[in-house]
Amino acid sequence: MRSRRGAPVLLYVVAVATVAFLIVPVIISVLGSFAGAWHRSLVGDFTLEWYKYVFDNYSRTIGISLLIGFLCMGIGILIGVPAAYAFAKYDFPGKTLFEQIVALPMAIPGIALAVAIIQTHSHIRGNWYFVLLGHLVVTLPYMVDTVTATLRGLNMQVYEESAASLGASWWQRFIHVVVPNIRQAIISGALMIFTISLGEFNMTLFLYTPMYMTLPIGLYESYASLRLEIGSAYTSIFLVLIIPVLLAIQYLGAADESELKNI
Amino acid sequence: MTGRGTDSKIRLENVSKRFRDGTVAVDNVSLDIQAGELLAIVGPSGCGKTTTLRIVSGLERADTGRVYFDGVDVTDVPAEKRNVGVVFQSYALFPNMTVVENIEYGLRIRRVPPAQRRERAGQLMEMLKIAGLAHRRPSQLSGGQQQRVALARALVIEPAVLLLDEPLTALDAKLRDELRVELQRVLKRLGITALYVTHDQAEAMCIGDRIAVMNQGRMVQIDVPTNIYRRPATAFVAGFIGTTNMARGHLAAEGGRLYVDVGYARFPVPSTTKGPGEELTVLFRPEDVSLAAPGQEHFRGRIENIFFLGDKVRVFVRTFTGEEVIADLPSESRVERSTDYPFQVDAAKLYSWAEETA
Repeated sequence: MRSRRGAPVLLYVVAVATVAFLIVPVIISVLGSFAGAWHRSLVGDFTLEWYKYVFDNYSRTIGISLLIGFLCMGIGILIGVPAAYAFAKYDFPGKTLFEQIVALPMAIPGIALAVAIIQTHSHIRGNWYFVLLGHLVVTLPYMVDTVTATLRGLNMQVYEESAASLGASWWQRFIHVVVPNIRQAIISGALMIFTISLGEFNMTLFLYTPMYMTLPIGLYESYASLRLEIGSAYTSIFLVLIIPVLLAIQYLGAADESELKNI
Repeated sequence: MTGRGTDSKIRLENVSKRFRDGTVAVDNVSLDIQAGELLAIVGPSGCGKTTTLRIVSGLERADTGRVYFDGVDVTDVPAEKRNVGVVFQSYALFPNMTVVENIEYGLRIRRVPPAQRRERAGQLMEMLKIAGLAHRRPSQLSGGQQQRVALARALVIEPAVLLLDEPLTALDAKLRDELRVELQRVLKRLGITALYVTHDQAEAMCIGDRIAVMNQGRMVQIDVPTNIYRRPATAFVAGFIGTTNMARGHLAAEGGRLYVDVGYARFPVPSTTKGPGEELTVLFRPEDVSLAAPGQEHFRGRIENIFFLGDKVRVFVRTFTGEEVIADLPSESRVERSTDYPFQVDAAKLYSWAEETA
């Protein structure tokens, strides 16, 4: 009896320990961002000074990161959805190769990608959209992947044929039938793009110029200057931006699953 | 080319279609459907019947041959411009739309004003008994309900031809039998021209004004159900439509009359151009076989299996030559397994081919 009871308790302890291991540093960092003096006290000496400092010195990085994140999302939808549709629906020479090439940036280290991009597009280096270009390369595959998988699972062809028989043109079929049925995949792809772009560091470190610094680069800079309390405040702002998006992705994933059960 | 085939609503002329892997799906098929007619195409899976339907719909293009609607050549007209209603085997209701949105979709595309859309969709939903489901999603409907919605959606556009691709196959047997009758009534009431594709010969017999039997991409026989059943053009049709006993033997003359000796029996010969000594195949249906009074029998055989089917008893009889004959006896028949009985065949129902094609 003891072992039967013991096993769930042990599992519970392991689970709690794992969660603690993941969340405690985040909590400490958030608490530290409000603390007057690092190390001395975590909660006793409440201040918003560090937040003020971050907003005064780094608000531009937040704006740039949000701008690039939203642009990645928009461009990801405009390019990624049609590309996914083409991959899922049509057979064309070299299709498998194309698909693999599109997915490649997910596997290549950011540093290597950065070097490759710098070598290829050196003439636009220094422009703000140079960073955007890099972010598109690493985020686009997530949209294409998510939407292609959903399209393949849905057997969209019969819906499209059905719409065609009812008189719908190609464009009407795409807008009335295809897009609404992959809406969830598009939204979760877009949110994934946003979180990845917002947190992208490896590659951006090589692409950015001081004029167009992104949030993670600014964060790195603040830590590098050993201002931990400022870094903590900075991290907290980052979390506030990113956590709602992560929750939305989780929620959409769950909704997706329950919808599949209904079919 | 307009004006050709004006007498028929839908005409296929020498249509062929080969798939990319080289298999021939449809092989030189010609077909006429009259206005208001229900034509059922029946055949085993892979015989090309669905491809034929898709060529009529415009969803598939024929490699060669022409398609005419009301005498107008529509071979190069895509599906969305043909004004056809298609009911797919999987129904293909749009998951993102409610029942009424699905039904109104074709009218929305045609820019019919909302009030008229609602009225026409409402009439059809009433007729098909789905008015109460208007605001449900397809995922909340049973198979039978989805089938009705798919039918309403295809009918609402008043199509030149309604194309039904195995519309009842996904349903369970009892529902299928009910819907089959209802479907036939609705289509007849609307006087619609329809092409109905099925692998189920009983369904084809029930629905079709005429039946087209397809095999291996070819049209084997197009005729009214009674002729398909009583005068099958080939052994394939005889075997595919219902149950058939087939026996082959040599012709012999006796007392001025022709007989065919099939080993276990000597059957009087239906009209034939052949003479004594030649080979002939005769066909007869299980219901044409009955228990005979002693001395009146065509053959004797041992009953090996008995299936009580309610309205009749189906028995499998083994003749002394080892052939199997299937017979349907009246349901009150008292027969026993492993017992010999005398049987006779209704001579008027015996059928043979003047020219054997298969």
